Amino acid sequence: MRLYVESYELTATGNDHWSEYDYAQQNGPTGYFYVDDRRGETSESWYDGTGGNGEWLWHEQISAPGGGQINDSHSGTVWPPSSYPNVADGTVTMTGYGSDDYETNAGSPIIWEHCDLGVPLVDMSDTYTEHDFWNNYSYSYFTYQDHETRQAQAVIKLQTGGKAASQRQNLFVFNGSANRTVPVRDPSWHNPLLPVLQISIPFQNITVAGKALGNDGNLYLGLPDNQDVDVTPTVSGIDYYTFNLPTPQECTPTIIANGNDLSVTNPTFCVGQQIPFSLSWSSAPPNVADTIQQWTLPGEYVNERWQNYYANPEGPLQYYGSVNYRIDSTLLANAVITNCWYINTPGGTVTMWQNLHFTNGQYASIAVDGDITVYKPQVTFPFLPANIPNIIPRLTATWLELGDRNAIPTGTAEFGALILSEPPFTGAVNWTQLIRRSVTYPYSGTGGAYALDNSQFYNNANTSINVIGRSPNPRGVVSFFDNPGVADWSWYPWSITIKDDFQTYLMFQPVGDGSIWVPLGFVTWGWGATESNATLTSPSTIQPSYQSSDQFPTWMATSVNSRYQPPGN
Amino acid sequence: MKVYCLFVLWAALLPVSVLSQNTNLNPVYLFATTNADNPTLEATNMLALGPYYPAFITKEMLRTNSFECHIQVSDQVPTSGNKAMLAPPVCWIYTYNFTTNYIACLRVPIQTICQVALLDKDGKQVQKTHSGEKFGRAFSEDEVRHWFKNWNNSHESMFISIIPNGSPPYGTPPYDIPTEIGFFALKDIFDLKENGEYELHVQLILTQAGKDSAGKLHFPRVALPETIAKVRIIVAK
Repeated sequence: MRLYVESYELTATGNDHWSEYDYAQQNGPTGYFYVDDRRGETSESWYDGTGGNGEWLWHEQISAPGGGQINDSHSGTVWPPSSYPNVADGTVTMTGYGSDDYETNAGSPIIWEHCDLGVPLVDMSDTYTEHDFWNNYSYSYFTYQDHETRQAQAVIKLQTGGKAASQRQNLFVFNGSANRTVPVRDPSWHNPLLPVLQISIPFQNITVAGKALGNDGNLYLGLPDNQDVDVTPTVSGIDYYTFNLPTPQECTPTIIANGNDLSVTNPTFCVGQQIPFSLSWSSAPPNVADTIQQWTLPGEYVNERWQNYYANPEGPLQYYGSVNYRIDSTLLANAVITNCWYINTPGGTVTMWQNLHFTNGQYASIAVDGDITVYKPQVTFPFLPANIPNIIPRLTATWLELGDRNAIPTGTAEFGALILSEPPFTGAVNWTQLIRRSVTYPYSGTGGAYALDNSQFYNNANTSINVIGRSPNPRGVVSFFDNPGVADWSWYPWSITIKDDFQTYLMFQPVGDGSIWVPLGFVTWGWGATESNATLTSPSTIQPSYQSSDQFPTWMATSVNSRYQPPGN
Repeated sequence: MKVYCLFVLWAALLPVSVLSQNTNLNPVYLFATTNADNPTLEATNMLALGPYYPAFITKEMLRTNSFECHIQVSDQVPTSGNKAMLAPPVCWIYTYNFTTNYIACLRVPIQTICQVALLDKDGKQVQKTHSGEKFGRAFSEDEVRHWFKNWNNSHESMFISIIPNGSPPYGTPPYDIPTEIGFFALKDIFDLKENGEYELHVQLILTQAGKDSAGKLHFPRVALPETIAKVRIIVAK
């Protein structure tokens, strides 16, 4: 950020006629006559980085009984290139009257002012006559006329700074003031820099960047990075005033994502990792009454956990089914995003807009963004074994089942997946299996819906995704085994038909506080068969196949039906 | 009591053996393979039983010894769903399979396939806890048979399939993925009282299943070479 004078320009002209007659009326002494005509022109200009020039012309003609005199002067000033506020002194060159002794060094010409004065500034005449009764004569007659024009303007600008191509909007807190300048004529001297009175101008009448100051003199502006903004204070209806505008307080917002400042880093987060987002300021904005804001998060994420429930008149709400996740857009209007979990790559640009309401009644908006990258562990499926053995419906002594529990391993569902992560994202994986079962009485199906197969986590122990062996990449292999079926079919004189469809979700949870289980993908598989007269008919299978997905498994009910018994001999 | 593990060294195969004297197992290496890499290995006269490639089923089991035990001690704990199963530090036990074939062993309790000892800086064995005293007592063949017949878990195979990594260093396919065999918490096994550097010795004894020509089940066991890791332990009370 840089507040600076971009330019200062001044033009002024002045001429005056000053005459005095001093003569005898009637019997007085010889008359005395004195005339003074003066003309002056001044121009100055200075530009940031370029420097400037000044010129002063002076013509004076004096007529008097003792002889007249004409004085002409010219001076030129050159200010070398320099940048505000380090304005380099200028060098003055003078010719003509007075050039035998003048100051060759000129300081900064800049005055923080606005002036637009036309002619005439002063036009007055006066006659003074004194009568000498004793000698019976009168003398002294005096007139004065002065015509001045003056235009001056300092242009104040603010370079907001920031990284190249940054779209960030910062908050700038200005505190300005201005004084009306009232020239006061001093007829004894003719100076382009007129003596003045300074009268304070109410803050509300002062405008900066098109916005009036508050009643406390403060102005809050949200300005984007890499802008050169004209912040010259202006006062409507007043043609001559000076102003003051100290360097504003710059409040730079940044997004903090899980402790990472997005203005300095592009962090990579893992799916399932809890990522709180908040706004941080380089300097806290003063006098904030309240704020409203809106976050925009890119890509695939969830920010709210929910679960179905029913009311229990005698107790607390009864929750059932899967714990689910979704996006609650109303939470994006909170100042802090407490919960956010990404469920898929690639991330993107996080933006936050905030409108601040200040105690002086003003509003200002800022916008800030930053990039995040989302990492999702890679899955190789099938991995163990590399080729999934065919699943085969069987009719054994007491079971209508998938696979043969008396011969290992023949036809059971068995597969594994390799999960390859990258540092530092360690974690755990497990399966969550949903079953949709259709089966003949007296067995129970799932009513056409997918239900949770036994428990949320299919394997008793999670598979650790950790740095093991000689590779720095966290990895692990999660296995799956199932032998679904129904028992004791021989008890029923009617035929038994079963059809199972499975969705076996591969769930991953990264290490870290607040992280959640997120899907990496799911395996679909199934089987069906009919037992009729102790014979297996109509066998059907859907071989396990995997697809990457970020869809969470959802269920309303839980089914505990599958069973497996070891082979005997 | 809290136990922290601050310093972990990867497992290494060191010549000093503590545990091999504790087992009467004949150090044979008996795993199913159709790989002809080791043509001099003797036939076992058993047929493979386990989740191998279909091509292996009922094929004769040959001997191989391309296995290695790795242990890794860390503060990362095993979890079941959202719950920690053990308190840190935890010793994770893995097996490298340097063949190119999937090999399987029985998923018998870790207590029965793992012999452990912890030596202090003077080389003295740290006293075991009550649970630790039971740790490392291998199943007898009858116990294995009983376990095998009564396995009743339709959601978990009774076999651990050991991932083939190919020949060292990992050949084709170059997976570099050891197979997790199990884990235990150090403080569950050893009566830890003093901070310091220790040597953790682990010997893995894998159990397989096979059928002889008469159809009778056999459960041959294999003791892998002893593995040692240096561990720095801080005991906080």
